[in-house]
Amino acid sequence: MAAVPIHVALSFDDKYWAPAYAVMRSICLTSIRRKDVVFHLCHTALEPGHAAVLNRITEEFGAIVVHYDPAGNAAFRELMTLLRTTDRFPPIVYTRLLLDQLVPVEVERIIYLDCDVMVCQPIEILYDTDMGGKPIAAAFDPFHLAITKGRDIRSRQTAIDTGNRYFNSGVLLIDRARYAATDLPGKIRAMAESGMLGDVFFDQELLNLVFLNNWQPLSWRFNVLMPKSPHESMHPVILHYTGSRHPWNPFSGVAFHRLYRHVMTNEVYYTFLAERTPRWLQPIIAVARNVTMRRRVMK
Amino acid sequence: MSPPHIALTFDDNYWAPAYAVMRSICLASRRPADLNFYLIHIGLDPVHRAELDAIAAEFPATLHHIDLSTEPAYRDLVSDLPIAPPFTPVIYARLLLDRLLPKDVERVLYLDSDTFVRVPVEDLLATDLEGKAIGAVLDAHRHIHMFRRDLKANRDVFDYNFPYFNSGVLLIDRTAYAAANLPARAREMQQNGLLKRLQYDQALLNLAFRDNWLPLDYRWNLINPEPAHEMLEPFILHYTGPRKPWSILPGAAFGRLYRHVMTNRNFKTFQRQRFIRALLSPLAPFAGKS
Repeated sequence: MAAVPIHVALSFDDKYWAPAYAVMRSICLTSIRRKDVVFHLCHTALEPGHAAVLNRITEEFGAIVVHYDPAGNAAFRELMTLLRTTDRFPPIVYTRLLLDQLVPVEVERIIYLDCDVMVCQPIEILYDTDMGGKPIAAAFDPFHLAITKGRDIRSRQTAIDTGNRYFNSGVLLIDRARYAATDLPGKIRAMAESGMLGDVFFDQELLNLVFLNNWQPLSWRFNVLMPKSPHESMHPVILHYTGSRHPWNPFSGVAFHRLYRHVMTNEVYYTFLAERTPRWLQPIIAVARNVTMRRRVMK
Repeated sequence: MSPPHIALTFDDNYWAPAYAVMRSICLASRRPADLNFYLIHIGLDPVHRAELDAIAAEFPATLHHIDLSTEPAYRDLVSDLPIAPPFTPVIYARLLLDRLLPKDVERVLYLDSDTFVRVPVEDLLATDLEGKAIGAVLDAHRHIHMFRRDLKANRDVFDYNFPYFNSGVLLIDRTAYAAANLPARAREMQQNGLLKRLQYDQALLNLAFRDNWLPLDYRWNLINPEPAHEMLEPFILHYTGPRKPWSILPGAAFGRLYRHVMTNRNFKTFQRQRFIRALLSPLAPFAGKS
């Protein structure tokens, strides 16, 4: 009997090529079924060198990597005429809203992950979770009051009541048929026509509005927001590096920051760091890189 | 109901933390008078031994001293095994637990000396091991331990999903533990160079008991505990990492409580000894020590 694939979708642009690689590698390192994992990478144009690194996952672990350009999808282009974007929330973040239209028809269930996550336990634990007949499963967002209501928890007016359960959209388990039946594009068009879209907090609030009281709660371990060192020993499944500290920055102080560098691999870590560093600081990066690489040779 | 058996292995550098482990167990236990401690040590100063023995008077638990310097099995085992600072050969003593403990001990709880027990230890000892040789907690840092840099080393030894446990808290079925013949395994790993490449005794135990250990709740071995963990009601704290509760400014979970469990007198004595040892450590090579 053929193995059942585990479908995982990521969406990112070239600025996040290395964190995407770390997400993929963390999944493969911890999964018992790594050869069954199919990565659906939804991204804008990547530098050829970056794409080559992402494709190395297949060589190292046997997982399948498939690339998609959402801009080639008419529904996505139409949706983008309605939705607000910023530097922090570029169009690519909305890819998750149309996953049911992007991935092949045989995909019945799919995990969506933001690229600022690291998976610490077999991804199949999440993939095999009972969704209770709901279109999506997600983890509660403990920061929902500030997100939905703003400063003093009253500066923003949204349709989401403070008493409603609100999920973080960085880790989603999606039932493809039920997700498609929700008709997200149609609902977004209706919101646009009623003037509701102007102040909506990007994809996360859209999803919370559409799936209000219609999502399956996951344990907090599946989406540990702003993880710090105390979380390390609490057996998290997925760490989600929200907030201002990211593990791809030196001295981040986040949970498993050292492990993250090794998951990303030192070579990719320092390449990515150099790409983001001003020219005058490049010599320091070069020295750090050389020291690290020399240590590896010595070991 | 069989008495709770607890084993600690340590040298004189850890006499006070060993005392704190024992006292924490006695303070939390519903049956302190039934507790049996097996103190497996080497080079223990008689004054420190007397401090440890005070536990028997206070609670009164029963203490059994096993001096490794008089155990040929220990000398034979550690003579060729690799070790590097900060570890000392005494870490290998737990491989001999089945040979060192009295014959009537069927189940024993092994604890590292940098632990702190906060619940009745008999609850853990009563755990159904479901036919496994040991009970332990999955190690949160297992990937780095096993695969080192870029997680690419030792792939010939471990696979990525190797269920690697932390060996600081071990619930042991003595018969099954003995069947693993750990000393022979250690010698074999010494000869083929594996022991030096890997994480000493912890790696050895993991290889020996692969698929033969029961995962316990993480609160039975909460590694590197910080103040944020205190409200989670951890069962056994394991002070791995840089934050030690016997430091003056510990920053570890329950740091203040730990000092009172160790007792302020022992805490201060231990502080003084550590300070003097640190001062003298640069002179160690001239004294023939390394």
